[in-house]
Amino acid sequence: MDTNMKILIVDDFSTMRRIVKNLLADLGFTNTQEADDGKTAWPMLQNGDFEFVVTDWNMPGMTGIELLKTIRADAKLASLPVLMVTAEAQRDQIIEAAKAGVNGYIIKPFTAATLKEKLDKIFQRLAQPA
Amino acid sequence: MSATELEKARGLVAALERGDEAGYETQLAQMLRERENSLFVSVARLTRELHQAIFDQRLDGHLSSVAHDQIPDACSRLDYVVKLTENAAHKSLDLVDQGRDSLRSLKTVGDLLSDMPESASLNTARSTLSSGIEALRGQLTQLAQAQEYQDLSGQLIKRVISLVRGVESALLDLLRAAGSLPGGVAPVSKPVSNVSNSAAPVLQGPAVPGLNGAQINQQDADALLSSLGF
Repeated sequence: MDTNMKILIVDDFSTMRRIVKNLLADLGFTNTQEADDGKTAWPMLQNGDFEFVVTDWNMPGMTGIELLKTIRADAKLASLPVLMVTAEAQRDQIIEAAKAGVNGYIIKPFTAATLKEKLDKIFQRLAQPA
Repeated sequence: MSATELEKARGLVAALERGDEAGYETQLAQMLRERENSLFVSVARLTRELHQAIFDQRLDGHLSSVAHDQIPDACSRLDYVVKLTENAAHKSLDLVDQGRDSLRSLKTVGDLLSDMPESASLNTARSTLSSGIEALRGQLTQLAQAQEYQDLSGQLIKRVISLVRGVESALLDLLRAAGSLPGGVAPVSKPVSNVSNSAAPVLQGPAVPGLNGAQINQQDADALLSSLGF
């Protein structure tokens, strides 16, 4: 896991973006940027060279699940790792996210330990030969 | 069926039996028009009765005030609550950052102490300082994490605002239908929908004890994802 990896944090609540940013910084990931909606995140992803996305689900313009699907449908960005951090805790939502190709799913409220565990797991998986 | 209904039906059948398609179509169209007219008459009567009921109950002005003033006020208040909690959470996070800066300068004190000649009390001082710094660091981290209440409570409040705006819109429609509002008056505030696609499943949002049915915690979520091959 390259700690200089460029990460995009997407959530419509500025306080949550700040919390995630701080937690990532504690883990050594300081190359982070923020977007307040899937809608504002998408052009950033298309034009930037992001290597990881942490996103909420429920956002007014473009939801996290729509952003995920859009990422997976794009030729250039299809394999971008996406971690969902959301209050949506129903079976149907989790299954939908899994089907759409999410790499990890964290339910709010969450702990710093959970975030670290999921990040480690995602990169362990990605490092495995296909 | 009344006698005339039976006659009309007989007339239709007769037209069919003698092969008079035009006659059949004309009579059928006539019957359908009459049915439609009687429906319109019923709807108009019901609307008048509703308007009368509202007016008689002196609810007209009250409902209007609820729709035009009180509900928008309530929504503004709830929006303001979200804003207040947002500001408070940011302020707390600012203080956490400052606390971390203070910890850094305390740590340098510890480093300076290690340069001094050894003694029992110095060792005690250093270890006390060290464990105190670690404890504070942990507490600051937890304090920062605790601010996530603002995101969860804010999401819940926004849902309530959305619900209230839906009620407001329905109320205005009702008043308009009862003739209490001119047709061209638009609702003061539009209902906000969090679901952009009407065919998408309804999202439940943050878990509330006693509501939302079967909630899933992180362990359940992990188990579910595992079973799906994640």
